[in-house]
Amino acid sequence: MTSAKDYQQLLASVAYVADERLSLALSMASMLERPLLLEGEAGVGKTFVAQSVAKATSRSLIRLQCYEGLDAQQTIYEWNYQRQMLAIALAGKQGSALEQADLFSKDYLLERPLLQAIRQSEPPVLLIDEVDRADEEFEALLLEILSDFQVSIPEIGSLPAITKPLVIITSNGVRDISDALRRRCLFHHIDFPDIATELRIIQMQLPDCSLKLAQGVAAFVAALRKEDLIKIPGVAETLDWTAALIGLQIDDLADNLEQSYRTLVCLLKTRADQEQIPYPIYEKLVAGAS
Amino acid sequence: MTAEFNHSYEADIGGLVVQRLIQFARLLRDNGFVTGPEDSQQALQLFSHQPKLLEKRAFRQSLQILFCTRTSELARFDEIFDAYWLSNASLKATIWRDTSLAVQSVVEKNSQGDGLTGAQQGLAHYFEWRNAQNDNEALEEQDKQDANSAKLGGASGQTSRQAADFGKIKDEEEADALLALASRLGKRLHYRLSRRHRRANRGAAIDLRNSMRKALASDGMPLHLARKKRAQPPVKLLIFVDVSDSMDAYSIFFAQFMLALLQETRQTSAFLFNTRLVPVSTRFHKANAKVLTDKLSLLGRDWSGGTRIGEMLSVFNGQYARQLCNKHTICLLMSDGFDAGDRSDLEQQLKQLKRHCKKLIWLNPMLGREDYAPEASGAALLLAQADLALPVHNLHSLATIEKVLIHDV
Repeated sequence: MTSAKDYQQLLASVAYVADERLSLALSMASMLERPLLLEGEAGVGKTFVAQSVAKATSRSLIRLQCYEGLDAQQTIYEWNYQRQMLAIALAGKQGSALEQADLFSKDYLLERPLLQAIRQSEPPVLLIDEVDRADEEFEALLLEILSDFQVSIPEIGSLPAITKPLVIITSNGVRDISDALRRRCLFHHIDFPDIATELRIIQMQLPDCSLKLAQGVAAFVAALRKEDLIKIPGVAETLDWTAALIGLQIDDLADNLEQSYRTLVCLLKTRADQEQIPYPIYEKLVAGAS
Repeated sequence: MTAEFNHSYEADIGGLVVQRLIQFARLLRDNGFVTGPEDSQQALQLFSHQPKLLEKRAFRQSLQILFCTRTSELARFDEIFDAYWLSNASLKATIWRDTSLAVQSVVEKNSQGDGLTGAQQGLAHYFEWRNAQNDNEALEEQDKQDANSAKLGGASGQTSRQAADFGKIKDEEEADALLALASRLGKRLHYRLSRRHRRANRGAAIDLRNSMRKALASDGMPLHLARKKRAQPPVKLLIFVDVSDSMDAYSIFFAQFMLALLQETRQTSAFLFNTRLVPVSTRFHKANAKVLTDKLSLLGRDWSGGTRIGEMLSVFNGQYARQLCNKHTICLLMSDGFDAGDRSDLEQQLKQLKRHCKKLIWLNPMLGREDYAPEASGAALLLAQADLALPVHNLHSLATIEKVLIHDV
């Protein structure tokens, strides 16, 4: 049984800075065998949690990226129709008998992520990413699988889980997901990291970064997030920007204002946001941050 | 159920803790949290396996992870947790119990004053919730009546609240109730527009005609099955809400309606405008009326010399139109049409906007007034260019938008 502290250490070993609550949520999810629903703004590192857990615990990661129109064929299973047709044609030519059971056997079954995840000998990490992008009907599919951990295939019967995966579901809150799905999950909200946490993330992810630059970047990004932006920069953007600054051999934002201002494209991803932070505002934010 | 829980976990974590955990879960449920008996069972299971989690900080966190299902519940959970677990015994005894009117009145009285204790606040919230539940039941009842009488999707004009002109509402409570109704109308409109597109879980049906055509390439063997494509959502809404001073009394209701639509569907894009255009970002999707008011008052600061619809549309046509509009887009322009900009520019931009959209509907609160005629230059132009002009001065007129849109489905 992996405790919250163990999770924190495991995640730190793969350079993921997890706070106490997130580690506890992961520990509870694996102990109670319930899916963990992670909600938060885009860019706070929800997907990265699942990737890091898989890496830290040496489990395989099965990812299901959700989008509008996703259905059972793409997520649970599908019959390999072309192979079935070829088998029929071949049997016809050879004059051999072909039973219906032969055609609907596991040889012709194409396992999709949800079925794959429960049929592994070692429990994997199943990441259902951006569930709010899928239709409401898809949630009904998930309910069946996440509560019973088995899939019913009319031609074969029920396929129970060999092992139960650690299920992590992420949502950006684009659409409110149903109470029924929420009730089956444990819930954790991930916020943008505070300055100290972001500083640790930069230092862990980019060991080449000097302390001075890392402090400057963390403080500046925290200030930038308070501005009225359409797309608030996430942790990934912070890391991109820091890497760009390291590449340009900038060690102090205040000493290289003009050059560093030009690299803001790493943080501000829309035209309106770029217009929102003109040079004088940037200068002021950097001065405030340092 | 209590006996069952006690039997399994009493020895591990103590009978009193078991009892209180069950009571706490009940209190959360009474406060609108979506928790079931299995959550309580799992809490007991958890603490029984990991007694360390019964320590103060971990205890709160683990219950929060288990019982909360959405971000908006986190703060409320803390309040209830503090009220139940941290305050004095006499108040704790009343908070979870199904309360009597006498207790309720005491708490409501206490909640009027300053310096409330955590428990009193918790209790006040509890009763607030109960009152809200009663209101909802009344609204549901109203819905049924509406459905029977008018067969309308939105609110009917039967009650005075729904017929009240937004611009004449002074009472704050009345305004709040109307905001809630505007929000519900928005959500229901989305449902109405999307309901015919519910699909079976098994995926799209096979398109036999196309499958046979494809089979020609493989000597008649249908190797590749064609499937019927899912119909595109019929209506994509583009909403502009005028938040200039002249629209002051109306804009908050329109914006609330717009927010409800935004929260429900990604097929809606929205902008606020006065002298400048402000896209309503995804972050703003989650805003409530309070945040909205702050945002509107910020916009109001820029107000200097009236609305410039032409300039605003010019920015939209230049920067956003290609990305947000298609042949299914219906544009709702919520404005009184008072325009301080250049007339020819407005005409040109309106024509351009019409080229991007399927239909331009002008929603004007002033049209609800008997003595009003759209004679101002901006209003006259809008009237000439819009495919349809509708009054939207009260909830009933807001509901009629639905009927118009359904015709375009």
